Amino acid sequence: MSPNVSLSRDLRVGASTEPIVAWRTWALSGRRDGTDLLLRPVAGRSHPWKPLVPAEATCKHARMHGAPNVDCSCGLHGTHDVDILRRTRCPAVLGRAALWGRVIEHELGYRAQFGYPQLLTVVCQFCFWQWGAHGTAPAVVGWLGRDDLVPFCWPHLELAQRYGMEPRRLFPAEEIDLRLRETYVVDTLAI
Amino acid sequence: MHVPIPSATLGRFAVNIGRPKRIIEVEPISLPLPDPSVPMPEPGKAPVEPMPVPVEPPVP
Repeated sequence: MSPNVSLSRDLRVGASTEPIVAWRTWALSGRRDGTDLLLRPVAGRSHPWKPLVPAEATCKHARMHGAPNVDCSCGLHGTHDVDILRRTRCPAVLGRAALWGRVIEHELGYRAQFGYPQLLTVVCQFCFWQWGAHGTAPAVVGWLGRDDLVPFCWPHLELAQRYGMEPRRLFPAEEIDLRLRETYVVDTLAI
Repeated sequence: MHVPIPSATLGRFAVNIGRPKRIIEVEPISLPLPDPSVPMPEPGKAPVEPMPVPVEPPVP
């Protein structure tokens, strides 16, 4: 097929009255005192998912098309399966997100126009990389400067400190987890 | 205790979700917006119940 021929010609089109719910990970940011928590895409610091506001996809590659576009990689991503997310960069929060609007279903996930989290929990990214959703629950959340918040289990906090990744402040993970769910008005993800 | 850093620590990988299969137009959902008449609870504290509004008895 010529690269100039759109993939959309070959795709089936359907409709749904129910939102699609998919797995997703986010990075987490917040102030030095652990307030103003914000879910951010793992791939960059732009366009956080704001509390009580639907996240809306935009495309930075081509501003001439709406996101998601079939022939692009833009859109709010979610996956069918949680395990595939073990490859994501710096996952601090794992959750289920509702996706709606124009949604492109892929073999392993979705790209959507709008999204909002439904269930959330903080995860130790080192455990998540190794064991997926069945990793150890984080004990603390470290504030690392530049408003980055990183959850750790105790062994991985010790490891991180040994390699020079020293959080400037530590918060109990349960406190941040609760505050995050209250901020976004969502339930906890039981894993 | 030795906890190895997994290779994914190097991971700057994007998740590959495969090829597109179909397009779905999904109707909008309503978000769990809080009731503005109810004050937002402080983190970790129970929400405050709103004061009952007195109802005037009907005038015969």
